[in-house]
Amino acid sequence: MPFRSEPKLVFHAKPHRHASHSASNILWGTSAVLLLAWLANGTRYGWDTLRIPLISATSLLGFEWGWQVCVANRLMPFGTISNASCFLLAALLTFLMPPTVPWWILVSGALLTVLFLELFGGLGQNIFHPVLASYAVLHHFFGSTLANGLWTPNVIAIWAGGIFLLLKRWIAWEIPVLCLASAWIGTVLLNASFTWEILASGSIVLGALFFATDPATSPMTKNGKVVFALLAGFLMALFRKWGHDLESVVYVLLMMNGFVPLLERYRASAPEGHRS
Amino acid sequence: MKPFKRGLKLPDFKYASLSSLKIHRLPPPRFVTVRLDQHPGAVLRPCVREGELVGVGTQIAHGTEPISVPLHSSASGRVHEIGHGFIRIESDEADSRDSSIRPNDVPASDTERFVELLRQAGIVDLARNPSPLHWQLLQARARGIHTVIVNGCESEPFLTCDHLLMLNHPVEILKGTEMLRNASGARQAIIAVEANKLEVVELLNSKNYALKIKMVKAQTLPTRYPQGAPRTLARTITGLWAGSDEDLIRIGVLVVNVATAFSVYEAAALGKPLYERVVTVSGPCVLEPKNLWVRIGTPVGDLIRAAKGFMRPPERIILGGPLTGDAIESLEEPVVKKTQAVLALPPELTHSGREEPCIRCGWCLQVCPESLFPETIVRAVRKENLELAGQYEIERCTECGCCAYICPSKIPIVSIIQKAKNKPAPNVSIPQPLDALPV
Repeated sequence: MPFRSEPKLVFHAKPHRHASHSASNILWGTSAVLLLAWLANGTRYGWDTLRIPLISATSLLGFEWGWQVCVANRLMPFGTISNASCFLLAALLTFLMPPTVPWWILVSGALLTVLFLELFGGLGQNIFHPVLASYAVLHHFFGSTLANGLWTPNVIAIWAGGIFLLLKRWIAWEIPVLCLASAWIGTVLLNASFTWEILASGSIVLGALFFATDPATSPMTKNGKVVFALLAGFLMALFRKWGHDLESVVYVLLMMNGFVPLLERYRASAPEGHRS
Repeated sequence: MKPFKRGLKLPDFKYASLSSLKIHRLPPPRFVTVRLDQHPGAVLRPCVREGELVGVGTQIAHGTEPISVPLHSSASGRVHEIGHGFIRIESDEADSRDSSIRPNDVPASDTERFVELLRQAGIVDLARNPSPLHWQLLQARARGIHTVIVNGCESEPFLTCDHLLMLNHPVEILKGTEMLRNASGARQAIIAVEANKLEVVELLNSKNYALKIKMVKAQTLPTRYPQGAPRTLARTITGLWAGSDEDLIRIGVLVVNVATAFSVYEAAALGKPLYERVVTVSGPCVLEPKNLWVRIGTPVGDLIRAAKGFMRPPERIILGGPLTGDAIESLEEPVVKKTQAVLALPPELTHSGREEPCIRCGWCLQVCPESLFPETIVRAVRKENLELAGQYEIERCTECGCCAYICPSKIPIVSIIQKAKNKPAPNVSIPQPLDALPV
């Protein structure tokens, strides 16, 4: 029996078909992948596996809520919080922390993350990756506390999570692939010895797969992504030879974040023959 | 030929309206509402009075500008109402033709008379941008072009009207193409067909084997949206970049739709003015999707009824393809010359959602067939910095909708760019981010 009554028709902006993905789905999915990869640390970290993400997620959510209510004047900011950006940032912050980290470092890290995100205009507008920037500040003030714990996340879980994101095409393949390749080549050249150990280094893999691929702080153009990844990989290898593992990744990526507007100036492919 | 980069591979849903390869004919509707603004730049004046008797194909309005083409009645009967911007005709269901319609023998090589004939037949390009054909031919003649591209790509999902027209009337299309080539003074004419319609290419070539039209050939192009956009098509075939649709003549190309070539043949050989066209009625909400010969001015509701009505309530009804068409607000809306399809879409297909903040994923850059920066343009327009938007070449946007399709944050990129291109008056509000957020 056909449907007989008159349908209710209202104006809609075109186009009338959209891809089925959405930004919040991608953010939720990435957060879930990161959480699963983190839980693989359970055997080594014990109860800290739950303590660290719980504290960072609740404090990040709280600070974000506070910012939205007090500064942005949104009374019930469900809309801005429901897209999982807080959970993603909390999960990333979690990954950078040693197991014995005291709670107040986590809370201040969350505060700094929210500040580095919101002071630049919120999700997608920030120049520097908020988690990396807040880690840099934490490391400056509480470097000794952070260095006390042994930072050893499960590299295989990070690889698995990253490959899942690549297969879902939630992250651009150019950045992790070229970044890791150039980091490996850089290590081989600088050490003058053939070694694969860089691909088993948690910080490099984490940085290439999860931090460098953050869409807001990496170039949008394809050529920009290639240059960004190659430079970041080589600098990571360089910094790592004379510095600490995790810090070199953090500072290299922060530096490269600053270059993003410059890298985007060069067009992916200028239309041949048409320059008017 | 190099396939164009970027763009999208879309699920095409064309099978729905291809279950019957016949183009069905509708009985004349009770009322037809012919709108006066059938093409951009049309300034028309009605030349009939209320109550006057008209036949099918009687001229009911003619233009005062050299660019505008006259309008013809699509039903026989009495002029019911001459309103603001439309003429409504009450049909007497006799369907008697106007006596002036008779075959004529103007050769296409006699450009001036032929072009005037096309103008009097009211022919516009039966595509998304319905520019008057006589105007394009005159410009092509004046500037000199080398190729006529007859666009049978139909790269948008759901549309099959051009496909069925080519299947049912290949000879007419070949002859119409040859006429267009002759009239425009081009050296060759190419009928461009996407690879999902290979049987059409085969059919056209085999008919041409008998007709022996030398400089017309059918060419297969890869299936990819928006292959059918005029500039993208011209670029794929000739390798030349055009900055705008008007710029196509400069690079020596005239792009018209296959339906236009068909109506050129009908106008030249039979003297029949353009008062009907093939329209696809499709979409998951329609019970029996099909293709119809529809008179210009038929209300959309009649088309839906001809497709056996709705299976379930649609979220939106669209005139044109799903990526470039316009949503209508009433089933009384009449079919115009550029209407290629009437689509009834459910919410699970449109995937429209609330707008979220841009996460700068850059996917809009990766799909833009014109290699523009949609993200940057949108940011510039929202800051009302039209100068910056101009530096990022907003004028080159073809409004194909790829960026808005792929955008995970559901930003209405196309409507923002459209509003900025139409030189917004200060009171036109451009949708700002997070407008719809519950605050």
